[in-house]
Amino acid sequence: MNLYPAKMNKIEIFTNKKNKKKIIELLYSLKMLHLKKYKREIDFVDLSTPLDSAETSTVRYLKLTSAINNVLEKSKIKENYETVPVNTQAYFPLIEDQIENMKKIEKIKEKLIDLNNALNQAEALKKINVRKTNVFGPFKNCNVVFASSPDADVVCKKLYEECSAIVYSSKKSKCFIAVYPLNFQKQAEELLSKHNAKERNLQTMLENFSSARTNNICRIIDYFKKQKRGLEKKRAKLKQAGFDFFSKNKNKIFSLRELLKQEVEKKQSGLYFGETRNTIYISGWVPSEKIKLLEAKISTFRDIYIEVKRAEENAPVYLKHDKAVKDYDFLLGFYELPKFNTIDPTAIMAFTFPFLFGMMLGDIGYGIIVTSIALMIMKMKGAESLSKIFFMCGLSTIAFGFIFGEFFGAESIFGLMPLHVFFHRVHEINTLMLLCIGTGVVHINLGFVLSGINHLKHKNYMHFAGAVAWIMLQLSVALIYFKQIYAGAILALISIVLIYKAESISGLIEIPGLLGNILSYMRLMAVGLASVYLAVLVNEQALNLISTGLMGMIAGGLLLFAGHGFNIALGMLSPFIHTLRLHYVEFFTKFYDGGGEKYNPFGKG
Amino acid sequence: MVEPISAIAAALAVGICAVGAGYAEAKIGVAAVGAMSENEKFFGKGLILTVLPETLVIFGLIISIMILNA
Repeated sequence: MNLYPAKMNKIEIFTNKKNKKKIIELLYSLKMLHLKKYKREIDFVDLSTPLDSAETSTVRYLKLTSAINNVLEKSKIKENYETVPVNTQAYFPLIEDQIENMKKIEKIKEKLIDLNNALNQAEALKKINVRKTNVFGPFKNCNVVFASSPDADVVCKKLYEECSAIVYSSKKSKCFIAVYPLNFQKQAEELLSKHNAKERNLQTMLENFSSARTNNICRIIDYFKKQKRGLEKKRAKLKQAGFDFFSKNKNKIFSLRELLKQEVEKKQSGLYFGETRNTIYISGWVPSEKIKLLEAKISTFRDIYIEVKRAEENAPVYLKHDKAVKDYDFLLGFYELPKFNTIDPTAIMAFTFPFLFGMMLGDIGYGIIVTSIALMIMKMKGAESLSKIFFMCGLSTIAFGFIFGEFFGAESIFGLMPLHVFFHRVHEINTLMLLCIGTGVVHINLGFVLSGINHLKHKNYMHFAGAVAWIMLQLSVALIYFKQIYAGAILALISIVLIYKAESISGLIEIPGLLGNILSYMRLMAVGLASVYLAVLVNEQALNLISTGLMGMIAGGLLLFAGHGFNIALGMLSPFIHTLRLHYVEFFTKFYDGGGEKYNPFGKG
Repeated sequence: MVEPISAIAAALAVGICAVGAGYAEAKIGVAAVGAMSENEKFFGKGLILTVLPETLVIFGLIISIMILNA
């Protein structure tokens, strides 16, 4: 059982600049070194540069990724592929052709938008019975307006009466054309603005129409429609060609993306190094178990100097666990990784998490269903860790189900086999309360013990005393409870002084908080009982229904299914969140020092 | 048999605590989701801050059990 993240070493490599490319290749293939970014700590050592042609690779990678995303977004192509060998130089031009096609599609899209606008305008003209574009002039002494207004009828009438305008309009349409003499311009403009008339840009519209080379509106509409059909056909063809290309060459394209990604990572890694005129300087961290191998591999180079040191506090965190425990890393990932060389509680959580979950849900039937669901989703991508955690939680729920003697809320298996109840949690609430508080005391003190171990390891004796004092404080309360008032009071006084010495005022403020922390474990009871009562309620109502006849049996069956289904859904979510909270808030606050950086070795994948 | 007034008191103890916790959690939850949409790393911290007021209801529950058992 590892209570600490894996041990790390810091390694510093100085080598001739000529070796740069080779050493990058080697480090990348070994995938052991977590690179540390050089930050110009030394005056005469500058920041190094990326390898040659890094920019080309980056541009290619970005182009390809955006093209892939574009296609994946619009098609049903899925991102699963087999890695196949592919030559970037030979294959990338084909991808560039596809990117060109995508640009063409975008251009067609823009053209279609313009075309649709023009078409709408032409159709609006047709609606107000304009046959030819001659109505727009040009006129010497008149002004032409093509506009739309919510009260077009009134505007048209007023323009006709007050401004001597010739008006083209229709009852069906809000659009109108008015040709009025220039000396009425002021009145006409006032009228239009008063009725919120929106003027259209005649110049642009006529320019758009000019491509049709006719002044007949019907012919213009036909021309635009034809153009639209043609463009849509072209677009569909290009799109289909793109999808075909991607689906046919999926393996090659995704492999190329992977290859380019690796190329970019390697070429850009120079930005992490330091550099003088002839030397490069690489530093980073390696797990201690791999340092010998790394040293041996690197020392095969000529002109190289390696220095291995002990890792400092800012080293990355490598959580190394057995198979059974590894999945609980997932729960730490939600929170923060522990700092390097501080307690990693994963192994403990692998036991306490299912325990607390089972204690809350505690029902054989629900446990079987939770376990089955976990088994079903175990193969799903991305759900591996979560499903394994739920699997253990399900088993623990079954175990507690036997203790509480509950099967879907009932005390027998389908009314046939009565269960032996060791502890009836619905009827023995006071005992259940004590049990929950007891669990809380053990869990929280486990936190204090871990804190003690950590401080002892770092030779922080005052803080170690503080952790012991928290446990002593609880003992003093127990002594006072058992009427050992003097002994209890003295112990309490000593603990409070120690807590003050170790953690100053903030420690004293937290003393009442400890009571809150312990009482918080009452949620083990509250969440559990809510689930039991709901199950019992469903069972009772369903049995009442079933006894009424055939229809009642069907309704009762449905109620059982829906009621318990709802309760299980709630029973998976709620205990999970509450158990997580008990760990994060009550348990972790006693010892956990978060904020570590994940060990991310320089290499493929 | 529990006296009616005790039953009402027990219900109020849990109910009012739950309203208080709900109000607090709603406010914290909004901020937590906002922070998470900026940076997913805030999930853990957001969850902790969001569920902190929950303990209020548990205090209410304890009081109500004490009232009912008295």
